[in-house]
Amino acid sequence: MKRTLALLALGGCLVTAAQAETQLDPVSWLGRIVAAAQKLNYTGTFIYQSGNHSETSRITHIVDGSGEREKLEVLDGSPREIIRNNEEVKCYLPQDKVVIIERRSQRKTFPALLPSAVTTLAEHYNIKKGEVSRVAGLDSQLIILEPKDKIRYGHMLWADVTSGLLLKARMVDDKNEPIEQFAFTQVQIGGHIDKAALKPKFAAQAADWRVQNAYTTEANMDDGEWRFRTEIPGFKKSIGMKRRVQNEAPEMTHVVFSDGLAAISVFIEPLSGKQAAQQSGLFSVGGINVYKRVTDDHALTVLGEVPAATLKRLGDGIEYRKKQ
Amino acid sequence: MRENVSALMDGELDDAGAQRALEAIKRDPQLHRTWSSYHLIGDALRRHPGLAANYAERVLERLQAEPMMMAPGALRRQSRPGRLAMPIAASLAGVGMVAWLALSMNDQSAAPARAGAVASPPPVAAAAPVQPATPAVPASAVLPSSAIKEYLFAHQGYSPSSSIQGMAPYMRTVTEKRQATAQ
Repeated sequence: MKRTLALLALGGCLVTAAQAETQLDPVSWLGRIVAAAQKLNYTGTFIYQSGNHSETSRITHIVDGSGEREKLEVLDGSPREIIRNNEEVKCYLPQDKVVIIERRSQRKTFPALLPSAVTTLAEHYNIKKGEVSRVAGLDSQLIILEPKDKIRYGHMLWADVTSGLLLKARMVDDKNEPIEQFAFTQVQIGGHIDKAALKPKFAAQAADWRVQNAYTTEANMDDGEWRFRTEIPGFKKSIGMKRRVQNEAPEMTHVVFSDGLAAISVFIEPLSGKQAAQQSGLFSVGGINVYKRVTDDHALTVLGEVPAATLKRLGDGIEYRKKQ
Repeated sequence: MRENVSALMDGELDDAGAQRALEAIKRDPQLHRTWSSYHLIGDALRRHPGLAANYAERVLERLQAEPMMMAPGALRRQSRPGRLAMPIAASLAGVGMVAWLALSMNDQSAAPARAGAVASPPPVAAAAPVQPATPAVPASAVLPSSAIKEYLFAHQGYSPSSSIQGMAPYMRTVTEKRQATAQ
């Protein structure tokens, strides 16, 4: 009763929900962005840019009685497709005639929803609000996550003022130079979205393609054969598992570290003869850096949306634990 | 009666009180609007993100799909006020949602525009070339094979960026940027 009256009293100030949302603090905005990404139905075209390279894609996200389904379709170059059906993600690569299937055991939700994790996030990033500007024809609120060290990248997020949906995201280095950017150029939020848009175009053709079905089993790595000597401030182990990336490949170890915003994956696999000549060093794919190294007859692949130096630091600290 | 509506929302009424309040809301359009507004305000304050446009439709669909109790005994039990209160409250919530959606559509002049495909040139910032970051450590040349795709794909599923952006970051796993860096 009292609560409702209090709500009413406050309600007087609320002209529209949208106006109220611009008053939100930046951390609440992050929570809103996550909720919008999971709950809203939307379809649109976005541009992915990395360096001087850019690609246009169409994305459709529908939540209904059968759960969360999503499709990403690259419109430039070879027609690659990624389809998500709840926790199952399938990637169709027509050029390589390959389907990669990955099942996520449990989707880790963004820590902004958990108060303790927000504190962790705020320990390593200054989180602040920027200006309201237009993206894809919609007013958007800029949220800036500025790293407090050079271990991680900065993030700039532009979210639709009305719905909270992320319309543009940019990852920047320590000089505030863009590393990669996603930006909607056109988007429809809500309204009727044809479910046919979720269908894989290559499902029929893919029947004779090579299928790489990743099998994973969650595993506790604390007593494993591998020791991570270097701790990266703010990055905590979020999951450890045994997996096979390719059907015929031997089992490998996959450990994920995250600071709540960025993630680093470490893959450790026994070296077979043909891989022995594999290259070591640093590489990059889009906004993701990759560090490869060989140690104790194993190949280490450390990758993530963090600066290359961070990967090298973590990777060089990994050592084989000698059996007692 | 307004106070009773408020108390009903807060779950402070007993079965008989709830029954009376719900009856009154059904009869009195003014009270019905009050009920809807209270929910609208509550949603706004709780910062509920925009709901799917067909939300109310789905609530009503679910209600219709609920199994109907045909046995006379069950019918008798259902007719008790307390039993009845819930389905009515649920259908009213559905109506409230319709009202809420209608209100939010009317209140925001931007709303009709967003429903249609708003085609606009990419924002200036998006059009500006994004310079590659120079790694702090010298990077060695080219990534040898396309084998890295599986690793990227496996990684992306566990990156919090998927929670913020949905599937868009999967673009990294299939980007053809790799060829571009082969310099």
